[in-house]
Amino acid sequence: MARKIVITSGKGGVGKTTVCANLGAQLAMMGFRVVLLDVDIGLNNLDVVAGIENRIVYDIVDVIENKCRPRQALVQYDGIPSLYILPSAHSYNVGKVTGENIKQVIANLGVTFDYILIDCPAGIELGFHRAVFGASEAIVVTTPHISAIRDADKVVSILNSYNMTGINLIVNRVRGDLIAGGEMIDAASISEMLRLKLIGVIPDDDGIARFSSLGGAVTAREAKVNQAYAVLAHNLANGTDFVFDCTEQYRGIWGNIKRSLKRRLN
Amino acid sequence: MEYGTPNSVGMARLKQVLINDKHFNPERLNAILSNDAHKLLNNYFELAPEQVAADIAFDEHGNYIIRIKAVSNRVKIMGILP
Repeated sequence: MARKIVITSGKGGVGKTTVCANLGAQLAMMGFRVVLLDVDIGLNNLDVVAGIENRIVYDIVDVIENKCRPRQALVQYDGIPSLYILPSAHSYNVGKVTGENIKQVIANLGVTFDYILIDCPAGIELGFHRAVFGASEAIVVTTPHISAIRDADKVVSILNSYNMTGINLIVNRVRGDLIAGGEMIDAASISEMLRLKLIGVIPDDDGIARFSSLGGAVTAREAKVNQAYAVLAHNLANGTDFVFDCTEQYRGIWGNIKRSLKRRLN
Repeated sequence: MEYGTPNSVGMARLKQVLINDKHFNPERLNAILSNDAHKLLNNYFELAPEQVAADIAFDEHGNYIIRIKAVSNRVKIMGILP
């Protein structure tokens, strides 16, 4: 039985798609069969983030319209055999696609996969409900900024009206230097405010920008981010609540020096 | 003007924003809650809808404090199964 997890946020630009791709890659590297489902129809980007944009033949709308079987539309991720992506349509005519359609696609994929990660569009309009409808769990992604946390709170209120078995929290783009200096809201406080279980803290890292340009999941070169995603995947798979410590290198005397240098360089 | 570290000021602002949002989100919640409370209490008491009032407030942590006030001068006679 697959775990059907929608990755949502409310606010756009917090890193839902990036989290979806990298979490999927980590789960697949743990041995799970994972499919990433792009439900952001018309504003699809999961294909670009995953670096498979040139290999798409069919998309989710083709599956819904019975132009192909779900398996034919799946694109295998390079280098991780158990990770697949079901891309979204890039046409704007999406009015015909309903939540029930998406739910049916998810049910079909559930037979083959252990994890179905659903990349949800930003906002709380029709696209959001379409994505959430077929999910049984949710992960809310936010950044440590008031505007993003506020939108996450609104999304949680809506998610509570769905019959979810669990709603967890990921705080993305965390700056360890700013938290250590008391200049940024820390992930534990956000978790407490939103009353959600914190399963992931992802540091803000230049490696993400590199990964975004190249396409594909983060690699061992981006060790810090990679480690944070590994902790996140472990928490999700095993129900643990380890937290990646972004502030570790900015504590103590050397940490203070590092922070000062970083501030001066910026 | 709030003073403190950016973190503590941010937390205070966030808390205020979330509490305010909760104030304005459930616009019709009071009326719906009063209506439902009346339906329930009317099984046991003689009550007109306007004799039931619901009030939703918030504490400093953003938790809902729900108060329902109903005034009745007559208890309905309960039927007993033979």
